[in-house]
Amino acid sequence: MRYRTIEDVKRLGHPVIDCHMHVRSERGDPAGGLDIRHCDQIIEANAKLGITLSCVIDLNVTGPQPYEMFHRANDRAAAAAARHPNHMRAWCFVNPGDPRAMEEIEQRVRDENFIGVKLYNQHRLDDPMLDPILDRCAVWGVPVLSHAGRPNDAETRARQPKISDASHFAAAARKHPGTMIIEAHLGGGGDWEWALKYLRDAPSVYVDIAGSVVDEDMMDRTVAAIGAERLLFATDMTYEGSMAKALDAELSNEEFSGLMGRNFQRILARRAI
Amino acid sequence: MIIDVNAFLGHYAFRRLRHNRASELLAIMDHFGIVRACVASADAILYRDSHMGNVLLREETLPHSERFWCYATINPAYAEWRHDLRQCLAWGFKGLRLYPKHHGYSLQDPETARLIEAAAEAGLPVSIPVRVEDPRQRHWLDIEATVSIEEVLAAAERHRIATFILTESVPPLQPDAAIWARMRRVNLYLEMSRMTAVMENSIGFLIQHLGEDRVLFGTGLPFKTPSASFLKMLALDAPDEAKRKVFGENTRHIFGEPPRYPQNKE
Repeated sequence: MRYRTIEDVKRLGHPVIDCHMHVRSERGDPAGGLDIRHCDQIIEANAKLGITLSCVIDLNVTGPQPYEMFHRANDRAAAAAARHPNHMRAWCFVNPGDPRAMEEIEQRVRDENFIGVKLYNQHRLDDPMLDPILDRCAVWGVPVLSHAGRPNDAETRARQPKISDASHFAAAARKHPGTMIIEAHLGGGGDWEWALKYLRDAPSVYVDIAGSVVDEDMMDRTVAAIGAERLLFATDMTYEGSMAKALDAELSNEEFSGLMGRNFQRILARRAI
Repeated sequence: MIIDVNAFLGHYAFRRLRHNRASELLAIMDHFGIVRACVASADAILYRDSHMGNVLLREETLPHSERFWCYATINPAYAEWRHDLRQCLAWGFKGLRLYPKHHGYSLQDPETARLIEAAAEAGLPVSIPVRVEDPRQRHWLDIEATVSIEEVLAAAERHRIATFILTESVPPLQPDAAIWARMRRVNLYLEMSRMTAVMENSIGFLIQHLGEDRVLFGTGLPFKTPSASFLKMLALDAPDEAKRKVFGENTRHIFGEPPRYPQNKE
């Protein structure tokens, strides 16, 4: 048994990176501006828990998502990164089924230095429709972070019929072995044990550990299944639980350092545009 | 003094649990400074005769009785629950644990009402988990339904002499909701392991609207990793006095200190 503390996080000596966090719009209005107060609360929360960099996506990602909506959402993510340039970076969210998705990716990722592409549940990750995006990200050396889950309850399945589970991630990785794919929030509520079975043999798929599920052995089981080099710290708005999973995992100092930032820094360093 | 109001011992049918023996849980408690844990039998959640879980829990905790306060898991829809309750009382169990969804009854059923009244008369608080696991990762034989705060609140309004503890709860976040006034009028306490102390700060919100006397520290061990609840207490922006109450004073009060175990010198 080894339990780390927040002091161990603050002593790391390198950026502590939350690779999956959300900003939101004022009053939840999809056409509105960035909720400044909420954005600043992220910085306050980060300070309490030793996080130094948040990689953000706007929270408005559900539904059909035509170009105008995801373009506006990315404006808010850009505004957040501009407001806190040393502590926030932005992901480019698109609906890959929209004909202007690639145009948005080129603007944000190539021209505005967004980290990479964020996908939600509009289409499954191994859908051929996504091939151009995944190929482009491989060429540019930028990651793709995708919403994920294996929900076993009827409500979530009905609400998210095209959610990608680990089998879709593994299939996409086989088609696009040069693309760095990140499966979002292992603790996001689906069957994470099921996910580990597929992730073992998908070496280009990384896993962010965010999510409200804080099962006691989740992290150690994950490390045993896929190793620590593909694990990325993230909160997806569940701050203490996600940090606790990192602190309570049986990791060497080097593995812990990787989880808390070094692994994601290596991803960022592969950028080639 | 830190008291964990939400812990378990034993096995769970749908997922492996580690640190689920008394000695193992004690090692974690010692590391984090948890003086005492209120423990329920994980076996009892899914055993047909949940009282067998109580039997195992008693055997497991007997050598460490100064560190554990046991919940008696009783199913009022099963045969001869009065016998099981009497036996648990004789063993020194300190609380009642109900699983209305898993065990297939309603908190409004007449027999449930009789059990709650019997527990209250014996001085046992009534603890009810909102859920055991996140339904999104449910086993295909497990249930999807969760216990609503409204169900427990209605039960607390019917049984004014009883004390209710809602574990694994998430408070409503509407400041003007009528539910707050109703909650203030009954003996209802909320355990905080699924809440947060940053961003939406549901723990702070709960303290503001219901009071620091109504929030209880819990971990969900060994189902859940322990640091989560400690980080929430660390991040919580509240006076030391309020934190002291949440960490253990409130639970100690509910469970009727001074403790019945003579070997406890605290």
